[in-house]
Amino acid sequence: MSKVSGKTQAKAHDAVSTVERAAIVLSAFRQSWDFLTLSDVVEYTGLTKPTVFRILSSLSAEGLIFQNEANNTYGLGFLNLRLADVFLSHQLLRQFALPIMQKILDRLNENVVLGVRDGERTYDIQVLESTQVIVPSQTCGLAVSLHESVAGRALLASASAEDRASYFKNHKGKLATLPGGEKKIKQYLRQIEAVGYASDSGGILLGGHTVSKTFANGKASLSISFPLARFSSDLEKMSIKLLEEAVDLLAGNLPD
Amino acid sequence: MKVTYLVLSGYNKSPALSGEERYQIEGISNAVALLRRFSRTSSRKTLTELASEAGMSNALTRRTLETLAQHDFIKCVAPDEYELGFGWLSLADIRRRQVGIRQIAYPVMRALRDRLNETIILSIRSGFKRISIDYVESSQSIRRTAQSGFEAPLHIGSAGKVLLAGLSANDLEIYFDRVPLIAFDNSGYVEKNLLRTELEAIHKCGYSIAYREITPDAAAISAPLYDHHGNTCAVVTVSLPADRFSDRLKAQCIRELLKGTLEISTHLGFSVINEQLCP
Repeated sequence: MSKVSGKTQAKAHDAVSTVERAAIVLSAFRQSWDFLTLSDVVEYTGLTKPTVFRILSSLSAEGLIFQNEANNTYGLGFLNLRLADVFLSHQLLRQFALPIMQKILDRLNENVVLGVRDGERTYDIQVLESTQVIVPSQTCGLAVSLHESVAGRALLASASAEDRASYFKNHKGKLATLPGGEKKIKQYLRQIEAVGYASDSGGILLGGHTVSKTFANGKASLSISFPLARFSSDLEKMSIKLLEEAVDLLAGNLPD
Repeated sequence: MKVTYLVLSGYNKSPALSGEERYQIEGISNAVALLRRFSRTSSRKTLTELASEAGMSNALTRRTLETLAQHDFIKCVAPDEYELGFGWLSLADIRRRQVGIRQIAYPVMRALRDRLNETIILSIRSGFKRISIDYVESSQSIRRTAQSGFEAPLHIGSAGKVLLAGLSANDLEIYFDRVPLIAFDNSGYVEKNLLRTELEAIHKCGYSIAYREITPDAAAISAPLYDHHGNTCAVVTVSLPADRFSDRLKAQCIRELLKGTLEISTHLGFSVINEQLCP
């Protein structure tokens, strides 16, 4: 009896560790926008070639991976679109923000980004991309610690003192490695609080500038991002004005 | 009930799978089975619901969900309550950048050409026009030649009409307001009401047939490609010399074309039951 139970446990363990490896394989596709070869995936994941091959074949049968038979490379499959679509369908903030974001895009033709806070991280859930030739590359769904992005810092600035203190406590080690450390971030947050928006260059958006403002009681942010080369004080002022109008409009539209 | 539909293609056909390999595949199948239980109408699920719907034990379901949550693919929103995670957004974003419609459609178009040995053309809408963006030609001695970049108004030819039939009522009115419905050879005007009736029929049956409409000696059958929102995003056409267009070949072309376009649409994320991820 105990032998059977041991086998069952081993089977369950195998199955779960395969899910772990499959998740690692899928995550490898975040490293590049190109199709990947089997060797690329092996290199990104550190798993063995036969394991990666088996997992890619299984994921391909499930629709999570798309195999380009012409050159034997792998990309992401259609099921990713459908799962993302299901995820987005219950993001109420997005439904309210989307038409307003579209109006900002029509006015400025610069990237307009909706971010949401989830615990101590922020995720972009919608990027309306500018049609200009040079645009910032912004991928949705990537987890970013609040202090690492302009939008995240705006969210952190609008958090309660208790919430902020807990964040600083949990990220002490990480913040200490930054130039200027925790002190500089705190100074930055005070500045955001004073003016009501965040506006900064660089950070995780290398070579870009972002203006960001929070709404929905600090649960979400609206940002406008553009290449640093296009920065001007007029563009920054216009971005701030449009974001302020958008946030006012959202405050009137959002359910309690 | 154990989920068995998931690994029907590819891997499980191999007789050389060891027990361990089977478990590995089962692990992935189970995980995807759980993910597929979430839908637009049912975006939050309890552990018990997920386990029972996927035919898995509560313990295995919990461990699988916890593993997926570590990678942001699942989010635990309350004790034993789950939603899909943010992780799908980045993969969907990358997927959109990775795979162009041409790349997805081409292998199916080639297979379609091989089965019918007639010319297959892929077109998209650009404003009020239809533009051919790719093609695979027939190898027969008398064949319909094709050309990338060929443009035609939407109200003429089978491909254009499929794209027109896929427009929203509002966009269709804008088209009628702005585009004079002139016949391709400038011989006269296309009657608006007749065109409306034709578009409704195309919408209903899912394909369009044109006989000597743009090219005097060619016939064509077109069917739409749908994206993951169920919108018409492109069109595939079988085009052939008009004098080869027998009833028998027509029926075969329709059958094969609809099969092929559904396959491409599925790769684009279209689901026949768009609201429900379950197969």
